[in-house]
Amino acid sequence: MAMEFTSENFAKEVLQSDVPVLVDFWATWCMPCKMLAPVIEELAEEANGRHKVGKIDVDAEPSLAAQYGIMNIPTVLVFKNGQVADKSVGAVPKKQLEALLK
Amino acid sequence: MEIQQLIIAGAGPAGVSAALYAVRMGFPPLVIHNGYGALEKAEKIENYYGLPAPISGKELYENGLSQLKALDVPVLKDELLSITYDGEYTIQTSENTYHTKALILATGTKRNTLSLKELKKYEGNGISYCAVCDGFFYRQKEVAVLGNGSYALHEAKVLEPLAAKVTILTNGKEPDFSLNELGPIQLEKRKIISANGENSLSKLELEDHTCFPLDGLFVALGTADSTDIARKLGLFMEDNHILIEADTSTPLPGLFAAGDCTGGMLQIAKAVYEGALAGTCAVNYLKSTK
Repeated sequence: MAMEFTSENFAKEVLQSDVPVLVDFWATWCMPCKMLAPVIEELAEEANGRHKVGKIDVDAEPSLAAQYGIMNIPTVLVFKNGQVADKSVGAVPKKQLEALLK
Repeated sequence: MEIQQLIIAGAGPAGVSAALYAVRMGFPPLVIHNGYGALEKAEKIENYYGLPAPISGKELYENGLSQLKALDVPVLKDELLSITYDGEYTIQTSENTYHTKALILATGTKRNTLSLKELKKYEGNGISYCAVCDGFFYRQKEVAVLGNGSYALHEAKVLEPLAAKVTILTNGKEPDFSLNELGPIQLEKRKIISANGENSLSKLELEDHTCFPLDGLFVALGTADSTDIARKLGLFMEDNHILIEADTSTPLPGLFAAGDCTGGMLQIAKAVYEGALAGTCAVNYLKSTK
């Protein structure tokens, strides 16, 4: 299952992670986010320790959304070694997100 | 609100073909269309089966409408503004609101939508195509909507309660809506010559070289086409095309897409085939949910 990232666990789980982390910025009221959710879950199920997958609710965590300049949802950021390595905006097919993790 | 079983958005080759198959299977659809689309620019069509002499795109479009009329399929000329899904579909047009169980998107695709190269650069950093999704990030900020039709006005009205200021930028065109409908929304008719900003879009340069500062720009050019609608519904997109399954279905139950909006060959032959398939599959879907 995809993890829930918050201000409390973000540094430990994302910035200090040894493996790439895919972070989905979403909101409960966003239709494209709902469509992307099963893809995010699939990526989490298939991660097998190679990467982490988690979600940030922009309503609950507005400061994290602001810190990373999120202006559209869904936005997916991929973090590698504590830095944003890649970004994808909108509901996109799974293969497109898999490519970001490679 | 009107309640329908099947609505087809678009009356080009894909939409009409879908309607012909649906009505012959006993499910007369409501067809909503907004003019010729890409066919308007086709002066001569010579590469389609069964045409002994070239025919213009407009003529072919009119023939399609006549075909629907002969089969008593209701056809409405109206502009789509938004489609939402809550198990079924609510379609808002400039004239009415409709509710339907199944929907076929066949309104084509815009060609050469953006004249400003910079817009691509700021996608995701100040440029948005979905007011209802991204308006949230512009609370108490200054935003603009690019467009001059009812669709631009619709997007501006979604943003107006959230943003500090909303301006519709017509980019040199006359507004195609009544100015009385603007309320507190501002209107700027001067042409835009460039878009600028360091990390995100922060200003536009207008034709007289004045600067128009803004925090975000929502693109709502022309009328809402299938890809605008699909993006808001969260359908998967690739290169501005809707990704469909082999049977024209999408991840949303009862929603099918056909024709230019699904990419591939932008040809009548392909649109007709996909329309036939979408009409058939939409009827099968309706039968399965009865």
